[in-house]
Amino acid sequence: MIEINYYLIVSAILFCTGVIGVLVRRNAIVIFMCIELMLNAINLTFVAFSSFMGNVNGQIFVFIVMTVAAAEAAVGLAIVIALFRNKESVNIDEINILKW
Amino acid sequence: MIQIKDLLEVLPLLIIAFSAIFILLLEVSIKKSETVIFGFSLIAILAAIATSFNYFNKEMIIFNQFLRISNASLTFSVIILISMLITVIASKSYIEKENVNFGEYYSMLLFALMGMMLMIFANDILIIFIGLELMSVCFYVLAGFLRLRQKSNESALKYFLLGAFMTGFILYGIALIYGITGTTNLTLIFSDAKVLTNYVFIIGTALLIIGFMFKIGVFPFHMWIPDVYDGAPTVVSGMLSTAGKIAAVGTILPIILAVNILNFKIIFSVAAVATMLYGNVIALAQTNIKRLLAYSSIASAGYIFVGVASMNEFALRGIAYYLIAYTFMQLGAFIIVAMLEKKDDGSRDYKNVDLDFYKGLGKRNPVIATFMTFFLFSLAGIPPFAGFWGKYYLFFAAIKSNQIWLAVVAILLSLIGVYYYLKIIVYMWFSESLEPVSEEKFSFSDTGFAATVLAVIGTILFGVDPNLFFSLFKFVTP
Amino acid sequence: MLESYIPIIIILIISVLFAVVNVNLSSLLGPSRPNKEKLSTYESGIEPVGTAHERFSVKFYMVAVLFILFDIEVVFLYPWAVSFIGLDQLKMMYSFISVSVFIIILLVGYIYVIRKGALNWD
Repeated sequence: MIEINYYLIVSAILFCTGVIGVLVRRNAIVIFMCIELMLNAINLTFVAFSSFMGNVNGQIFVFIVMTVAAAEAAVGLAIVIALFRNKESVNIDEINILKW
Repeated sequence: MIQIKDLLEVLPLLIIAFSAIFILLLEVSIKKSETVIFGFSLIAILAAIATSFNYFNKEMIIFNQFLRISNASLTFSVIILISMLITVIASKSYIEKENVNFGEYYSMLLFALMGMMLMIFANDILIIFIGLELMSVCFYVLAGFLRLRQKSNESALKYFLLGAFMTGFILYGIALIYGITGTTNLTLIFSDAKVLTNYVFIIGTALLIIGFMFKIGVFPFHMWIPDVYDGAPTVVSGMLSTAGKIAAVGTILPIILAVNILNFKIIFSVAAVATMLYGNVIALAQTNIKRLLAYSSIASAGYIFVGVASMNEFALRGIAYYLIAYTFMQLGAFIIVAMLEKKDDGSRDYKNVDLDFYKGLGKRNPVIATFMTFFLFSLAGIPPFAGFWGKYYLFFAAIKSNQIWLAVVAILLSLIGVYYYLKIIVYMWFSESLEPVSEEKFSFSDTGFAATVLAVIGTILFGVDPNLFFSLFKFVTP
Repeated sequence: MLESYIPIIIILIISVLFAVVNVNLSSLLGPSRPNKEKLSTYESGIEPVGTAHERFSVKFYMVAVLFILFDIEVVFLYPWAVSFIGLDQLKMMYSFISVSVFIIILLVGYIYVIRKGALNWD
């Protein structure tokens, strides 16, 4: 039996990888993938807690998070495509009309 | 198991949910359906407001303990419904003007409304999360609704990336809370006093609160607000800054009050002061009225957080009052900006949103200029208008909780705000017009005008008689 | 308990070694006589045209996203289906009605997608 700590550490590492990815990458699609990584790390936390407490609430939560992630992916990619059609770029350094 | 009786207890929510879905069917089944959909969504929101008043003074927990109906949550939900009503009315002319007259726009507004109401009525973190995401996803779409305009795309992308990033933090907080307490039910979570001092639980709650502070736009997490409000369609910016904020405040307030860790108090006070300072000072330098109103909404988030930092029974009254006043004045100001905006001519930028355009507006269009003056006076907190009482009750709550320094600082900082609001008023009435007078094309058939009249009535009515609000929403005098 | 991982680590090392050694051995020992034909990209015997980074039609995106959305809804049906069997008569009826409402909402979305022509290919 593996202790819960290992699961939590793995998910925390995955979460931090996602956060760092969001902060350092410059491509909108890659940033979005890093956000998905964060969500999946959280799913791992939920499943770990749920399984160790013998309580299904956490697993239901994971289903909801998966659905929400899919909805966000659909909307997010649509936004990126709309932007790309107007601007021919998904590099967030070039997305700079709005400032001050 | 859910009883049929439970369904009747959440009638406003059901009406909104049903009509949001039904609009999609209307959109594809009737040709030229936009006017029908507009009327339908108006009726739905009015019906929801009317039914909401049946549930006051009936505190109850329903739907397998998923929803909680209380006076406070009903008040917030009615304020949101009013804000949405004004937004829907103003939207009709605006989306026709911008050539995006699609039925889906109203559907998105109603889905967002449903998400916000779910969040506010939630008694379970799961429901809070579903409502939050329903709201946010609709907001991302609405911010990018002018899909041929680059500014709108950009605002949607920024909002989406930052919003989704913050969703991650909120969820991690929820996961930690769940891990410590073994439940997602808010009543059960806060029933155990021992768990409130667990440091993992505190980290989880802090992440949750931070995520909501982002949605409200409080100081360290406010950076998205000016960019998003600047790029989004103007009526939508007004809606984001009122309904979106009210929903976030109404959701997080019971949690903050339940946690009620006294160490948090100083953090909230500092955040409130920093937010007010930042919003008011940066607003001084703005030349674009949409950005100016965005910074003014950051400052307003600061005033709301003065109430949150007070954490006493006066705070809820103050926050609720300020929010309804804020709905009328901020939304009204944004709608006037939307009405004066130039018709879409295929360009990538919004026209007529510079402050210079407002010079001499009083001569060109006295009615609109008078209304704008009312809203700006109210935002500045000048007595006969609702904004004054909102600030008064908030600062009063701060004094009652022995944070006199906070009240004094807040009053001083809101005096800075008076300067830039008065600047616009001076521009409107005492400056020479830069535009030729005959250029003005404005008709009273613009639905935005009806929305502005509603907002003006609200601003003056609640300004003249502050007790009207408390008796309407069954507040008990503390 | 970490000892139980030792066989896995051993098989990992062996498989990596096997792959690396074989690939390098063949390039070291085999004859190398490159010419133009050999170095060109193989594309079923046709000369390759353009770059690999082509833009795709947005229709692919529409179908993919709609697939994801309708696909992910099935995750809610699995737990429902699993727990449906063990229920008594009344609760069975109740849970059937509940899931019917869920499916009807999905159906509205489906009708919307069809009528909007999001799945038409031309």
